[in-house]
Amino acid sequence: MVEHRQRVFELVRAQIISILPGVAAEDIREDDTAIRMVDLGANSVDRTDVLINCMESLGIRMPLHEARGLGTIRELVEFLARHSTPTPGRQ
Amino acid sequence: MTGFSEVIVSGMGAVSALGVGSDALREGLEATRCGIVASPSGEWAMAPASGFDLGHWMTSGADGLPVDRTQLRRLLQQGTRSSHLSVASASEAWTGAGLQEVDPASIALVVGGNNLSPDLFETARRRREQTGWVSARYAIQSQDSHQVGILAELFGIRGPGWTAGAASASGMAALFQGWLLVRSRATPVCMVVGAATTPSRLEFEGFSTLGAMANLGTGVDPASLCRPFDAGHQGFVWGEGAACLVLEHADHASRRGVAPLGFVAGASLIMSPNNGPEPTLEGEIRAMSQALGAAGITAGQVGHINAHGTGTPEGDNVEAEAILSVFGDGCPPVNATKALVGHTLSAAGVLEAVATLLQLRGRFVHGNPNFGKDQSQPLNLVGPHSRALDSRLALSNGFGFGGFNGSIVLERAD
Repeated sequence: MVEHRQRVFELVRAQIISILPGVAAEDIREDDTAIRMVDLGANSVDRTDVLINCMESLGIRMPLHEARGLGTIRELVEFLARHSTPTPGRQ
Repeated sequence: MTGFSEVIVSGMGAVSALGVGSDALREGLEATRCGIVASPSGEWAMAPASGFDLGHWMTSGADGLPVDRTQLRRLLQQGTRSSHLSVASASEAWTGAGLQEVDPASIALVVGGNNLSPDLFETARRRREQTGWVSARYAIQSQDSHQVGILAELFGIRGPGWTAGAASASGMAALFQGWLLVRSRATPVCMVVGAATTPSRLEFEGFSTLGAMANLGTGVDPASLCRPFDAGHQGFVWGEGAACLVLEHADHASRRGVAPLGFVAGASLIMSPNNGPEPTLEGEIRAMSQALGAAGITAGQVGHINAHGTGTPEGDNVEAEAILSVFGDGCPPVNATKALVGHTLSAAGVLEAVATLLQLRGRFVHGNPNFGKDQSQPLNLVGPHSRALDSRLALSNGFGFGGFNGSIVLERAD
């Protein structure tokens, strides 16, 4: 489970970096519980696309409004990990 | 010489199959180089702007812009291939015109084009079918007007802005609007962008079904397929390209000490009441005559005609007849840039206005590489190679499905 959560964190980080070109991997640390995508400069379009791309990669199918209101990156990672199954190769 | 043109060209930029930048375009035209190759599937010929790589451009061609590299990358990441080409050509024109010193509220922005990115629709539809998701960005990118937004944010433009749609005459419609805006002093500066149309397979098949696009037969050299005004013409070849002209009122330019690259002496954009693909002789004659009238010149003063010349039999034949009707026996040399860069659809009006101005300034006319001896009309066509020509005034045409007819008269500055 810890392994799966780590995999989800890395996916989220990769998506944020690809959508926000000014952000580097070291700007997103797993132990920083308070950091939010908006603090990294993401607007609502960016935040939604990070979420969608991650859900798509993890095979999560649910209405988008159920995933709204995730404030911090940690909350996002936990939400995605909770709603996905640790299937290797899914990404 | 008109000598009284109030609307000057103070900047220009271009990206096409002949390369990135207007210098590359001028060199390609002067060498009469053809950028048409076979499509990856081998079914069609096309003229992709393969010399344009976004990553390379951001590190080498984006100097002098009012944003840093991260902001630029961020902005372009929200864009489509078409908007990237628009940004590259507009950046060249913006920098060349020195617009960083102009009040951003004095700059208008008109992007010529409608239905610019059907390839985006196809990609989005495929993703939705396969995974059930549609990206949040899609709602923005799928609107052509997002290009106006990207360019305005990039350059900090605060004047008027919109898109101008008129099928293949979109670029010409944008030029016409820019010319009206500047001439009427509604705004002293207008950036006019001809945006690239990036078709999906659906549009290729549609144009092909209509008989407008040439099919690449087995064993045919792609570079020989686009044959404007030649008896062997059988349709147009799609080209990828974008261009920008900065139009500025002569008073405004002279106050800030900017030398004109040329003048827009006159322009026209009129309808033929004909909602179809057929060209209209009367409409084309009237478009050319009105542009000459607006420039205050006679047909005899025009030294070069850059024809719409797509390479479709009906289009070429009607345009040849219209040109002969307006210019008569004294018809100046005629060439068609689409034989070299393909038909860039929305961008064509602006890209070919840039090509025309480059020829006026360079004192040459490019060749018509695929024009043989048995032409379908007795036009005064330039032969297969470029030649020197010292003309002061040139006319360029742009027509579009649905009855759009436009012409522009350009004058060189020196």
